[in-house]
Amino acid sequence: MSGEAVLKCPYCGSEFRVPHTVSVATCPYCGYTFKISTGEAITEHYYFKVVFSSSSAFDRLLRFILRNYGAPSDFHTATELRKASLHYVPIHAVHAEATGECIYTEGMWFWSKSYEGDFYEVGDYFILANREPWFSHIVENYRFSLRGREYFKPKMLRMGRYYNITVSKEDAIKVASDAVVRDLMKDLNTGCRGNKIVKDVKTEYLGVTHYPIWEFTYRYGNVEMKALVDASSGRVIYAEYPQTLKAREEAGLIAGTLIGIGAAGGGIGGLVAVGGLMAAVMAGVGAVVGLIAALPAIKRAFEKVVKTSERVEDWNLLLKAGKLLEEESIFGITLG
Amino acid sequence: MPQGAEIPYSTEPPPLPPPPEEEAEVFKCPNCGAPIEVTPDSLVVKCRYCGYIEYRDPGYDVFVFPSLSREEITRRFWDRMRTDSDMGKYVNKISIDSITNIFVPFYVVDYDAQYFFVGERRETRTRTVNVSGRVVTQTEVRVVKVRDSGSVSGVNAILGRRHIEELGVKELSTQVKQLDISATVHASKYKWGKEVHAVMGFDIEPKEVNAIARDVIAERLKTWVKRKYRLDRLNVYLCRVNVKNFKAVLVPIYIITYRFRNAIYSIAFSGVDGRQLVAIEPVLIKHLVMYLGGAAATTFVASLALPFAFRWGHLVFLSVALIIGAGYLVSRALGGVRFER
Repeated sequence: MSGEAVLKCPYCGSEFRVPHTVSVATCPYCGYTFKISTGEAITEHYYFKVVFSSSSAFDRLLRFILRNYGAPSDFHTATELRKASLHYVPIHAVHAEATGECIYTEGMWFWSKSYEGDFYEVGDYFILANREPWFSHIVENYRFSLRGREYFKPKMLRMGRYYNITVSKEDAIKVASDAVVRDLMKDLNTGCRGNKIVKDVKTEYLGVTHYPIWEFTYRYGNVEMKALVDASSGRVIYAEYPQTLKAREEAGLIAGTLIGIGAAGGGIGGLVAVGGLMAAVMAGVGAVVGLIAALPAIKRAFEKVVKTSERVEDWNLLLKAGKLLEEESIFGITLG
Repeated sequence: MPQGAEIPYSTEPPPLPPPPEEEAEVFKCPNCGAPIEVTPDSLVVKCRYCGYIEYRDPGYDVFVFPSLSREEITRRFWDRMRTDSDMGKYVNKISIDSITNIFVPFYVVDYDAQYFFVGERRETRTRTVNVSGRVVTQTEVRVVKVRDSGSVSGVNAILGRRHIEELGVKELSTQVKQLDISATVHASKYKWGKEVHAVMGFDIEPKEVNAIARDVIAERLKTWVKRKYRLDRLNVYLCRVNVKNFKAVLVPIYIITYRFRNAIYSIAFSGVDGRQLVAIEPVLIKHLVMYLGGAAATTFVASLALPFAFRWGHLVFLSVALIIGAGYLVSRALGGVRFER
């Protein structure tokens, strides 16, 4: 087959084919994972177990969708599962540390004073080791579940669609190294207006983990949709669902009402504050205000199929404020 | 074509050789002799056959916050539902889907830190003056240089695992900082309940804690300094973090998934004291009315205030803030779920 190489497993001697793009291969017979260029074993190879079978993950998906605004109430009974595939997606893990220095000078000549201090950045970077799946961009920043890893086993090669490693360990280390420097510079830029120097960057390769993800294709009415579910935790990474016409009409009504309220507020304010023709202009401005406030509803009114995901953290404005207060209390303990 | 499909799974495989050495370490259950598989995250292993639980010493001291039992958490869940102002009247329509008990690894870090900074703060002064019989608002902005130093001490919690996201874990880390560490028991002496789903080992090792704490605490302290001194920019910020000591602790969390009107929702409870950490709950009619009513009122005030901005320029900021608030309330109404803490 063109675009493929025939490899011999250095451990069991079996022959198998892999695409030319692969830099690290896993023998489909014994599970030995090795660098193609040297035959060197990759010992830090892990995987997450499938905890949610396809049926339990799909059931969870349907029940998750049911809680969303505008989902048909019979979605869990009227949806037909067309296809379920398990993907084992490889992710490199690299630990990186960077040290930087800030040198800030105040004043000039004899009256100048210099301050120097170190800045540190520590981070773990998880890099997709194969970007072939269509959902790469969706799972790129996805975080693992709190179920443990296991050492890689050959049997998992037969459990699903196993993706080989096409992004090499060296490339992953380079990505992590660049990322830690970028993060360090972010810290330096917000805490130093003097000279900023990157003094040292250290990286440690932590290994590659194959993470299990269910891909479901399902149909409701005439609409075919897709979803991704974490097979380890059951969390819905990505889902699509059809929005009922009633829900879209309601969203349209909400949007229309807000635009009307905005126009009324602008008009009344215009009459009192400026009067005359400007009041009409202000009513228009008020309608725009209403339109901006109604944007989430307008979007919903036009969406036939909604894309969603299961969040475990809120993007609540109040929560953000709460977090700031919490930081205040953390450091407000003993101020010298 | 997906890569996995290229590998000839369908062909008859040759007999499997013994697994490579780096594969799962298998040891025998001290109770029944059955093989128990050890994983890289195995801190506590459970025999699949007899249920015997064994703690595997990672080479450093690990302490455990004793966990409430599953029964106790279930009771608290129902109590909470019955007394909840939103869900109370729907208790009969709720059923528990699953209860997961996980011990989450944290490092509780005791630290002190010294900081020094030179920063700038913009101070705005507004005054109204009478110019040829017309009242005009004048705004004066001046930049003030601020410098200070100080020391801070406290406790921080660092998650002992990398790249993790799970319901309630962030809230749990806030709780861990406030817990009495003397209430812990050494992991080797702890009596693990049979209902334990997973006891997560530490994949961040103790030797890494200093570096992580230094980074995290210095960064948080920077935010705090900026807020405390109302700084717009920092010319230089220097911080030295000294980790006095730290303890590796396992903190229990329960995640209960329940069904309501066929859909699923979840609540995370602290296994230490049964406190609710976070709940994902349905948006009911009363919430819809509240969110949309709030959005309508906010939109009205935002647009009403705008014409007055010709006279009082600052009202523009109020209007913009209200518009953002209104949009936020609309998206809450259409979000499907509420996060309750």
